[in-house]
Amino acid sequence: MWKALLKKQFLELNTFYFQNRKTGKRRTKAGLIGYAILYVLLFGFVAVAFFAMGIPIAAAVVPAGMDWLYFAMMGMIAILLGVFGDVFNTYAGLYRAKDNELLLSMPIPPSKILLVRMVGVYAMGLLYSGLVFVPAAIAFWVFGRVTVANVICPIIMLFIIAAFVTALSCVLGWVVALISGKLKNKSFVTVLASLAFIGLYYVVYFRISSYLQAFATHVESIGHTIESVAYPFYAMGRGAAGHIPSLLLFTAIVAVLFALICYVMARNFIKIATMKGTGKKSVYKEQTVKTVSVKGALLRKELRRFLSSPTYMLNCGLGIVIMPVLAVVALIRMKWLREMVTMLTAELPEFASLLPLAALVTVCLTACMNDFTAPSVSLEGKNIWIVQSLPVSAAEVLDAKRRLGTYLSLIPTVLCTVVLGIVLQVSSTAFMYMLLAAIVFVMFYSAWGLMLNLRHPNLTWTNEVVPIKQSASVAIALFGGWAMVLVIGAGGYFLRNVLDPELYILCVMLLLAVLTRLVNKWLFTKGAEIFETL
Amino acid sequence: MLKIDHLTKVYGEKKAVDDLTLHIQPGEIYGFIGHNGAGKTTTLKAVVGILQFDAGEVTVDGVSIKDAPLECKKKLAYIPDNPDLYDFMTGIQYLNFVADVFEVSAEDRQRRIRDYAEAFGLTEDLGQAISAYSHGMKQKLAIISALIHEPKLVIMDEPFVGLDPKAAHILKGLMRDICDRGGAIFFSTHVLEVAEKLCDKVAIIKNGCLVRCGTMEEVKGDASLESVFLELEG
Repeated sequence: MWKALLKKQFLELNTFYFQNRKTGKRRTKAGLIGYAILYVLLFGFVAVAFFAMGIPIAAAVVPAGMDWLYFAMMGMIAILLGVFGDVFNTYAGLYRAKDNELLLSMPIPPSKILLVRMVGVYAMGLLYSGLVFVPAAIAFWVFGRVTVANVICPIIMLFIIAAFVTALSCVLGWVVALISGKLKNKSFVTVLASLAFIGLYYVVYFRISSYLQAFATHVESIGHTIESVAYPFYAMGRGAAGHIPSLLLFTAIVAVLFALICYVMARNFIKIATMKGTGKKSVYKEQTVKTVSVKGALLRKELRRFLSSPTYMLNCGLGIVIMPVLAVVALIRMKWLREMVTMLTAELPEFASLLPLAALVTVCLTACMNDFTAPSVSLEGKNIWIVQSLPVSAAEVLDAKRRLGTYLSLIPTVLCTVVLGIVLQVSSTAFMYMLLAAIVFVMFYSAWGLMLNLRHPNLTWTNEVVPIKQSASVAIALFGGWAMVLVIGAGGYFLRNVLDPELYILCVMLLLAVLTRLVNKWLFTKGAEIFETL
Repeated sequence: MLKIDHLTKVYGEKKAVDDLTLHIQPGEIYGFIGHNGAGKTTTLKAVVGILQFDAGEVTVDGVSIKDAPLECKKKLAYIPDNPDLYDFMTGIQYLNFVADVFEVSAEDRQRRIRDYAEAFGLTEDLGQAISAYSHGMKQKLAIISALIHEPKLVIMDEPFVGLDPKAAHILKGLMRDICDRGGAIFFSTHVLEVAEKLCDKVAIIKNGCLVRCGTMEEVKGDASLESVFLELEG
């Protein structure tokens, strides 16, 4: 039984790599090699980043003879990354696995199902924490003495850390499952939490060097604090640095914690795995109905679709948040920005005339992050029969998608452009051209995204992540959009002596307007035909 | 009410529907039976304008679905075999969306929603997200949304699947009411007993071809519909 269950679990993990989730078919050899290269690059990049992070920490700690502190610090980061990466896997793979009910109906003890699922969680935890701890150990070997103990012990410690990560992920996954069952407005809470995390990430990212500096100057006091307040982490650090009794002590702590969590979860597994939403059922009470036009109803439907999905909002609407943030930051740092501009124009006088174009490029690059329309046709999925059977034309359906994309992106775009225009003190003519060009770009981008999705539709997905994150239309819209904006910027720069940059913006605006008209014409003729046959 | 003339739909090299001709008069409940993959769903989807067909003609109340699809769709309603509805809406939001598209007045929709939801025991759940609905509840919601604009012609693909006995009974009554008011029903089913009791006429399709059609008596004679069907299936 163990063998069969483990085989199923690893088959599930393998499927992620070996099988195309869109088509359900096994990947081709070329596809597998491509994916392998992609993963190696991706993991390699993260590992190199943590190696680079480990070097200054090791440089501050190892010469002071506090090897344990280095491993304690890197171990904690590994745990943090491991838990963060693993907790949602745990939630989906352990508590919300689609085959939970199937397995529970079979003569398998729930504790076995749980343990087998935990093997999957452990494997992922090992991968995530290894991305930090392996390069950290290599960075240590570069700085410290290489002995048998401090080569073998970090390797053993990685496996123990992964067990610790698994235990914590299981607890946090449980909390996520409980909250998820009770939460109202789940989409908004998820979006807010994600945005808070992104904000926090960037704060830490931009201040990392000052944190490292502070760490280097307070190494000893930090060491004492960890030793007295968080002894298990002190043991973890010492154990990884080659102190065998500490290694055994930390192993014992993790083993007890792991066993305790397994025991509690095994007792509650059926309850958790079969838990339905426990939120209060809202009983419908009849209210006065307000009718809306057909166009209004379609637009409202698109808006509801957008607001219902955190994945959709975060991946295709991030610009809505970033543009106002950019505007606020520009206003707060107005003085600094103006000084920078004055300094630059003093050095490069021609930069002054290119300023509106630079501002426009900034706005448009950010507006490209609002690629709502690029997955909007695919997102109809199995529901496409509804609009196809209703008395609305395909053109009306497409128009609603296009309009929503434009409306949602327009206000932040205008806000951002106006603020940048004021902060950078561009001339009134340039300001008007900039604003018009930004508005026309938004209109073009919405229509173009929709066109791309009609050319690369995918209605057979089972998880909305596929059309939102893994579709050709979204990739082309985002990267193609950025490339297009950069070409616009480069064009203005290279033509600056031939064409006045302000006039260049006007030309860009006119060109975009013509393109928008052409794309719209395509959408409502050829595009509508394609939509009808989907 | 519904005229299907020489309808042909080809997928690749396979003829899913081959030269099918059926005429459904106002007041008729017309059953459509056949084995899995016989072409029932393809026919129904072509009739409601979801699927474009290769040859033939379909007219609803004298209007061609090819030439004036929107005009036809305003007169009909479709209930698919699998009620994949908008999970991101609540039941009432979905009903209002459909009513808005069909331009049903506030008074009419409110009354119809109240009556149908009450009949199907769905009133209290209308405020819930459709994602929280069971298959049967989704089916009931799909039925209510189909009837909200009082269609002249209702096309249903396996409408009884997932319905509890009470809801199935109510649906049968509603089907008869629609026909008594001059409307027509064209529906597919695998439940031959239901077809035998409910339908005025029946058509049997095999491998995309119509093998028999007519009044229930004409089709089955003295035998049961089941025995006729099994005999035709070979």
